[in-house]
Amino acid sequence: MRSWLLKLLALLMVFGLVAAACGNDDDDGVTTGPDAPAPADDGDDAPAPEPADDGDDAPAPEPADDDEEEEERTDISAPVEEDEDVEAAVPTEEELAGGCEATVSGTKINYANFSPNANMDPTASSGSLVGGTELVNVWDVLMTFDPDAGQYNGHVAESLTSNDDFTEWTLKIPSGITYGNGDAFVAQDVIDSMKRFLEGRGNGVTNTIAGSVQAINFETTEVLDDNTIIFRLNSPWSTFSLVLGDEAGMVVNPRVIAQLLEEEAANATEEVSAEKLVRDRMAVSPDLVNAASFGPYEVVEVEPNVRTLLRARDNYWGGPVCIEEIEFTFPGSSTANWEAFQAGDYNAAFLRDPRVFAAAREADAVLNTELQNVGGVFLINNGVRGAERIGQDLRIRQAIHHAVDRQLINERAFENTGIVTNALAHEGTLMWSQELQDCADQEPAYDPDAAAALVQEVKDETGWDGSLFFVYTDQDPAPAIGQAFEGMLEAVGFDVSAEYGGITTVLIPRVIIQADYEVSGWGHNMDGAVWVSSLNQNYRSDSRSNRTGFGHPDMDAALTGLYGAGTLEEQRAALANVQCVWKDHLPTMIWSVNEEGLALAPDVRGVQRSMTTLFLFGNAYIEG
Amino acid sequence: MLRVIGSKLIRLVPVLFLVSLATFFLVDLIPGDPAANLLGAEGDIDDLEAIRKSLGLHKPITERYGDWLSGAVTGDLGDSLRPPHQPVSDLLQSRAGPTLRLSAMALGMSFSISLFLGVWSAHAAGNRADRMVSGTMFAFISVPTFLAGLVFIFFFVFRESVPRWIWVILVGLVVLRLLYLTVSRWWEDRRDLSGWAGYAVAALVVAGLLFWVFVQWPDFPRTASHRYDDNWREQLRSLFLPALALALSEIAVFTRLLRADMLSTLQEQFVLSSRAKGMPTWRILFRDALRPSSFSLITIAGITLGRLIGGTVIIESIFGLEGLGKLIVAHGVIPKDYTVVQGGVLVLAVGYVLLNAIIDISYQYLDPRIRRGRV
Repeated sequence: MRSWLLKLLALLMVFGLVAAACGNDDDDGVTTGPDAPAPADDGDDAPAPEPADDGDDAPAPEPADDDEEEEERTDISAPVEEDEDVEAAVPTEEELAGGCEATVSGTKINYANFSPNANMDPTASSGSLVGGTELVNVWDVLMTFDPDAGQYNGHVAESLTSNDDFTEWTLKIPSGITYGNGDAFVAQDVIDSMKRFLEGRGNGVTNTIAGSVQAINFETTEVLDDNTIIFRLNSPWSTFSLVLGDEAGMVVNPRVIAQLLEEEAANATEEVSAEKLVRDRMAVSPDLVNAASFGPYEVVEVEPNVRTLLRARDNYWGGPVCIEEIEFTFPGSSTANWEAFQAGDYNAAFLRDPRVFAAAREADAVLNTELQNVGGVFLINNGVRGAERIGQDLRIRQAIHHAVDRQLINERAFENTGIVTNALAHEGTLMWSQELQDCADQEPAYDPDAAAALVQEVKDETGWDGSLFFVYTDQDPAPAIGQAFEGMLEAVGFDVSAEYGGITTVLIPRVIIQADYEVSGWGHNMDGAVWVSSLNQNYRSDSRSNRTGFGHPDMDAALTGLYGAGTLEEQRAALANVQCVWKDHLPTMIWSVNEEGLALAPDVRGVQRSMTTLFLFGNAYIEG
Repeated sequence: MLRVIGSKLIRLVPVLFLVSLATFFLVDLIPGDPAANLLGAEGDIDDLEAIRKSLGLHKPITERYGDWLSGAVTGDLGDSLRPPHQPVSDLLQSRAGPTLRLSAMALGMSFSISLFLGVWSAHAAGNRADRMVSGTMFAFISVPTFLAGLVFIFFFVFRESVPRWIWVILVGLVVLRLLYLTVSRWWEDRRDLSGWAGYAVAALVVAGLLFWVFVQWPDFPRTASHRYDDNWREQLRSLFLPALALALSEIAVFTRLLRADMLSTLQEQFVLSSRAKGMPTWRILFRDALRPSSFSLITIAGITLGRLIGGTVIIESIFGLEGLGKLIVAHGVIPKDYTVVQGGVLVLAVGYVLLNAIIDISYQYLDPRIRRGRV
C-alpha cells in the first residue's frame, strides 16, 4: 500500500508540475534575480549608466559580420517617437484636460519608485529620479517640458517670455491660487523660494538645477506686481525655462518657512543651522508640507527613504484631481519593479534597465519613457585640480576610443538590449542632427591596432608603464560593463588596475573627492531639457563640477553657444558644434544612451511626463 | 526569580558595552565616508568639510564614541547621519514592526510544522515515512534562503497553479489514505464505530480544508513593500512567502533536533510504562514525551528568533520589505551611517541577550529537576 502510495504521489507531482508550468504563458519573460538595491541616484548626473532599448521586440541576432552588426544597430536605434508603446502612453489633449468631475473614491496609484524619497522639501531633494515625482505632485511646478515637442509650457505659470537676447525673462503667474494654509500665492514667493533653494546647496544638496539657478542675477531681478516677475540673467540663456520646471520651480510658501525658522532659531547651533532643522522637520511632517504647498496632492503619511502616501487635494487650483491616492514605495531594483508590476502589485513602475525594458516590450507593456543622452560614459581624468595624469595626453584618449568596441559592452552587459552611441545626442532624440552625427563619426573608431600603436608611442616617449586606474560601482550592471572595458584596454597594452565599490564608498571619494582615477564609469543622463546645463556643468573649464579636469577655450566657446541658441534648429546646430569640438579633444568616451520611464497599467490614463522624467498625476485618471 | 532576572540583566551591561565598542570601531574600518553620501555624485568638493563638520565627523573616533555612549545610556541613540537626520530610535521603532512580524511568522511556521514532523518522524523511526521526512529535511537545509525566496516568487507569484495543484495532490493523497482506512475498518467491523468513524471524520475535515484552501488560494504579492495595511489578512498574505523562505531551513533544523530528542525520550522507562498502561499513542507522544524532548528545540528556537530579527536582510531585500536588517545594512553599513548601525546592533544585542535569558528561565518550568536543583 505504501509503495503504491509513494509511486502515485511521485507520478502525480511530476505530472502536476509539468502541466502547471506549461499551462500559463501569460507571464513569460519574467526574470527573478537577487538584484542589488538600486543606488541612490542623483538624478541628472549618475555614476551607474544603463543604456536602453528603444522598443525593438525582435531578438538580438548574434554578431556575425560587420554588415549584420550594423543592421542590428540600426534596428535598435529606431527613433523613440516611432515607438508605439511610448506613443500609447503619451496623454492626448483630451486626457490632459482631466477625466473626471470629482475625485473618484477608491482609486489609487501604487507607484514603484526608482529610489525612495528622503525629504519632501524641494531644497533637500537630490534630483528628479529620487523623489522628484512625489515632489512635483505635492508642490506643483511653474513650467513643464514636453519631451516630444521639445517645448516648455506654463503649468502653474501663465507665461514665460524672454527678450531678444534671452537675458530678460518675464514670468506671469495667475491670481487666485492659495497654499494649503490659505495664504495667497504671489510673485515674490517664487523669488524667495528660489533663493532658499540656492542656499540649500551649502548642505551638500546640489544638482544641475541648483547650479542653473545661479544664472539668475537676483539683485537686478524685479517683482513688478503680485503676478509678474522679470528675471534678469547674468548671461543669455534660451532654455532658461528649465530652471522653473524642476525643484527650483516648486514654490514653497515662504511665510511658512519664515515661521519655522523662527521656531527653530533657538535650537540651532554652530554646527546645525536653523535651515537644516527646518528641512528635517519638513521631511517628517505632512502638515507642514501641506500648509506650504498648492499641488494636486497632499501628503498623508511619509516615512523618509521608505514610503510616501499622497491624497488628492480637495481644492486644487487646476480642477478636480481624479485619482484619490498615490502610494510611492521602493521594491528594490528595476527588475523587482517590473516583476512586481507584472504581478499586479503596482499599476505604475519606474524602469531603468535595458534588459527590463526588453522584457516589458515583449510583454506589450504600456510605457511612457525617454532616452537620456550620454547615459553611459567613461570619464577620463584630464588632470583634475592640476594633477599630472596620463589622460591629459590626447593620444591616450584617442587610444581608449580606438580600443573599445561599444557593441561588445552592450553584448556582455545587456545581452544586446541596450543602445550604444558615440554622440552627444542619439539618433531619434530631440537634439540629434546629421551634422552632429557626422562629427561624432569622425572620432576614433574601434581599431585595436591603432590603439596599441598609440599606447606604445606614449610609452616610448614618456616612459609611462601603461598603468591605468579604473573605478566603477559594484552594482549590476557596472561590473559587467567594467570587465568588458578593462579587457579591451588590456588587449591594446594598457595595464589596468580596477576598483569596484559602492557609489559613496568608492566612486564619489575616488572621482569627486580625491580625483584619484584615470578612467571611471559614469553617466550624465541628459534629457531633452537639461543638456545645456549638464554639459556646461561637466565640461566647462571653470565649472566647479567638472569631474574630468578637461578645459579648452574652444569647448568653452562652443558651450557658451548653447545658451544663446534660440530655435530648436539653432540649438541642434549649437550642439553639433560642441560635438565637432568634442571629436578633436575627446574629453571622455561616450558609449551609451539610457532609457528610463514608467510602465503603466493600461487603465491608467493622462499621466504627463515632464523634464527629467518627472510624472504629473494631476490630470491622470483610471479608466472605468 | 527576581534574583535570577536581576543577575541576567546585570550580565547584559558588559556584553552590550563590548558589542557597542566593537561595532563602533569596526564600522569605522569600513571604507568610505558618510559625508560623501551627502555630497552626492553632483556635489561640490568645497562643501565636503562643511558636511563633515555638521555631522561631527571631524572629531576623533574616541570622542565620537564617547558622545554616542553618553547619549545611549540616557536612551538617546543619536540622529542618523543620512538626511533627513531622524532620531535613530524612531527609525528602529518604525522598522522593528515588519521584522518582528516576519520573524515571528517564520518561527511560528517552523515550530508548528517541525513539531508535527519531528514527533511523527520519531514515532515512525526507520520506516519509509521517516526516511522520506529526513530526506526532505536535508533538502530544505541545503537550500539557501535567498534561493528559496526566488523560487517561491517564481512559483507562488508567477506560476501560482503549481503550488496550488501540489497542495491538492498532497492533501488529496492524505484524504484518500484516510478514506481507505475508513472503508477498510468499516469492512472489518461496521458495528465498531470507534474503529472507523474517527477516520471518516478526519477524512471529511481534511477534504474540507483542502477545498477551502484551494478556493481561497490568495494572490501572493511579488513584494511586501507597499503592504502597509493594518488588515491582518493582508499582512499575512504579504508576509507569507518571505516567512516561508526563512522558515524552510529552520523547519529542517527543528525537525531533526526534535526527532533525535524524541527518539531518546521514547526509550525512557516512563514511556514504556505509559505504553504498558495502554495509553493512546498520541497521548504518549504529545503529552508525555514531547515536553522532556523540547529543551534543545526551545534553546535553538530562541537563538533562531534572535538571528532572524537581525538576519533577515537578504529576504527583506528580495521582497522589498523595509525591516531592521535592511535598515542596518542598506541604510547603515553601506552609507557608513554609524549611528544607525550602532543603534541597530545595540537593540539587536539587547533582544538577543534577553531572549536567551527568557529561555534560561523557561527551563525551570519545563523541568522540575532544574527548579528543585536551584532550591
